[in-house]
Amino acid sequence: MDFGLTEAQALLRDTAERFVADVCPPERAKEWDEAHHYPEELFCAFAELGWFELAFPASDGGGGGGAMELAILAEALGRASLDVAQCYILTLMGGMFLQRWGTEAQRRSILPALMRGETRLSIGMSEPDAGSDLAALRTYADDKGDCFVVNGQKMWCTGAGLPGTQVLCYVRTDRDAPKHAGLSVLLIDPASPGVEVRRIPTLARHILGTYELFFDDVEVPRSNLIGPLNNGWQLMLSGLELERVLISGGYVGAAQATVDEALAYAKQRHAFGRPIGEFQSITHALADMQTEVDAARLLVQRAAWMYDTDAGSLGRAASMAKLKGSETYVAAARLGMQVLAGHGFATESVMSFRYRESIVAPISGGTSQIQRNAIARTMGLRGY
Amino acid sequence: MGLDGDEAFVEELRDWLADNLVGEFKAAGAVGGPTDDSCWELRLAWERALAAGRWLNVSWPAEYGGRGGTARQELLFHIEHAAADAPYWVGVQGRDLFGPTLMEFGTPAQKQRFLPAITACEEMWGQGFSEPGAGSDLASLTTRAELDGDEWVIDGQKVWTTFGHRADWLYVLCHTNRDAPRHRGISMLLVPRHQPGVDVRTIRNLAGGEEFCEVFFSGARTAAGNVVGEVDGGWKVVMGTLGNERAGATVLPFQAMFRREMARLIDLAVEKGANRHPVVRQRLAGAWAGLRIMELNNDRLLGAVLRGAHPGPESSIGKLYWANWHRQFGELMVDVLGAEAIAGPVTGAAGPGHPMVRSFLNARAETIYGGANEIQRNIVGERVLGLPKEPS
Repeated sequence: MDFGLTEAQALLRDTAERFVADVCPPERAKEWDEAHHYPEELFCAFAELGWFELAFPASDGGGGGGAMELAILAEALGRASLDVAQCYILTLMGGMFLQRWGTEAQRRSILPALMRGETRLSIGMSEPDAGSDLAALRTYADDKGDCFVVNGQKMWCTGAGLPGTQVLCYVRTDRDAPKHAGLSVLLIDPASPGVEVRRIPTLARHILGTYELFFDDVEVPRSNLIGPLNNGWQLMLSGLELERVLISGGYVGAAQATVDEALAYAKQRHAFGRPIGEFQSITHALADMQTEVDAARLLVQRAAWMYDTDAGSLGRAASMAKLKGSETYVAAARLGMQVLAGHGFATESVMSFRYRESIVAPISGGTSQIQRNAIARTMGLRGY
Repeated sequence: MGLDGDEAFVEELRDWLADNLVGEFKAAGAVGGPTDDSCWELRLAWERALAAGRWLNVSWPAEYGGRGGTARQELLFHIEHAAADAPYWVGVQGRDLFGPTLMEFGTPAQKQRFLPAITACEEMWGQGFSEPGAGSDLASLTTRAELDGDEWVIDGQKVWTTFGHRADWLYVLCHTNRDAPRHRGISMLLVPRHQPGVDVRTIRNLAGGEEFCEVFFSGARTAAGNVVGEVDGGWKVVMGTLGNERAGATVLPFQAMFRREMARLIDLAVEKGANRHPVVRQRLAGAWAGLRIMELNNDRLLGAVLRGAHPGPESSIGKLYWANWHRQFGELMVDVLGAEAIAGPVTGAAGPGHPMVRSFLNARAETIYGGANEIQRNIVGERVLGLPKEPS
């Protein structure tokens, strides 16, 4: 069993870590977050390094990278902040989705600009009454022949309000079908007549921003249908597992950086005549947390390896990585707050940013409860 | 703990509350708390109403503005006040921490000068203990005071001074003897805040509040007589203050707040349907049991106070317990809130949107201030269990 990185993977990791140090160190990510700043230069820098192309086949102008390379990148970017990692992952995942399910014309019209960092695709899944129970969604798209007319509301659309962003919206196109059937995906421009975009005030994730979208008789050209009509549920499932693996890479990076920051403070801060890191209560807590982070990293890498080698069902492994990664980030931030004590509680500290940001980890992208359900199902414990 | 005596006292208090806890005070409910800066003016107005009714500092002697009542009556007041959902007073530092310290260690002249003004809400106090390099290890403080004629001259920096920007006076720990061992050269000085040598700056915290302050002393002055206890004998005094912070009636507002939060969370769980989930139900039941244990811890502690005992190291058990309990409870609140927990701005004057999220974030500070968890465990380990000190 080989746990090492290839030479190319190690080079990618080192490049990405240098990138974070130069372009988006945690202090800068915190400033962007607090200023609700859209860092256009970050997306352009991703593009210049060819990272958006990394996962695409060479025939589409891509770099042919696998899930392992993407997870390595996600972890390195997560060291800056989860939001920075998401800037990369969400853009990438939208592109991969289009690459797989889009028509030739759709791919040609959107992917080149996306790979240059100029455009993005946001995802519109959740609704006020359809979060974990996504199939309960009630945004309707009525088929009018050459267009669909969309009415409804989407919530928690990450990045949907950023410049040059279109939204992959899950809509109900067959009112009579069972709830998992009759769904489709439409590409909607938020600037279309009838679309209202509202930014949701949130505790964190202010770089990408979180948005609500209201649709009032929005006409969407039929050419914006992505994938087969009424087959949206399968489309959603198709990208979910890889997204979980990659975002979990981001959690691991954020958690590792959090431990590193707490560790540095524990070595530097003196009390009672010695660094506080020499007190066993802190030493052991940090040792335990590093063990947790390593365990989370191994789960992410195993899932990425399974994806790349097609080694069995990825669902369980991806859910385990998501569950462990997100909760480890939360635990690391909580420990970091205790180690940094008052300094962490002051908002000048990066640790306060980590803590604030970590809260969303076990909630977004499938809550921890949903991941546990998915794992339990593979154990024969749940039938729904 | 049988608190069924003093019926006349309680009856008078309830009548007074019924007559006076009305209008904007009633509408505001139990706003504020010991470390909460919100609704300051309204809370101050309510505190002044309590002062006018002679309900503040019930057990303090009448010459210091108190009622000359018993410790039991003081406790009954706190229980009734918390149960009435009244706004929480703002003079926490003077009333709950500095006042009892001065009562124990101050000279008659100091008591006469400062205690009536605390009771009458005429002067607010701030605590100058922690420093950037001296938190849990308080004795490593570096703020210095030198005698210059009949005045102390103070230079240094303090941090985490709750309500420092509201204070008229600060009780400040300073090194007053360069040659003494570190626990023995410390004095507690009383320093007027409104002077050129004192600069107070607020610190924005994770929960959006600005009640914590930094205080910079550069040639600040106070009269030579403004020392509590003996010069160089401040360590004994500060231990008394910290004991007051961890014990006595100061736990009651937390207890009342937690009870209200518990009730709201149960309502919320029902409203959101989360009460149907077995895991949530079990966590709620566990939290309820934990809250009862906290109350029993407090009853035991307050019972000891009522018997005339001084809060001892056992008070650390209570502090450690409730701070941890509330931290876990905060996590449960966030879990029940779900996605709603992440909504609401953390920046801006209002802080995070949902009160439960503010409470969740504030709970991080509760395991740090008033003696961090690690310090409480050391106290319990060494002074309650008799374990040897950590090797140096």
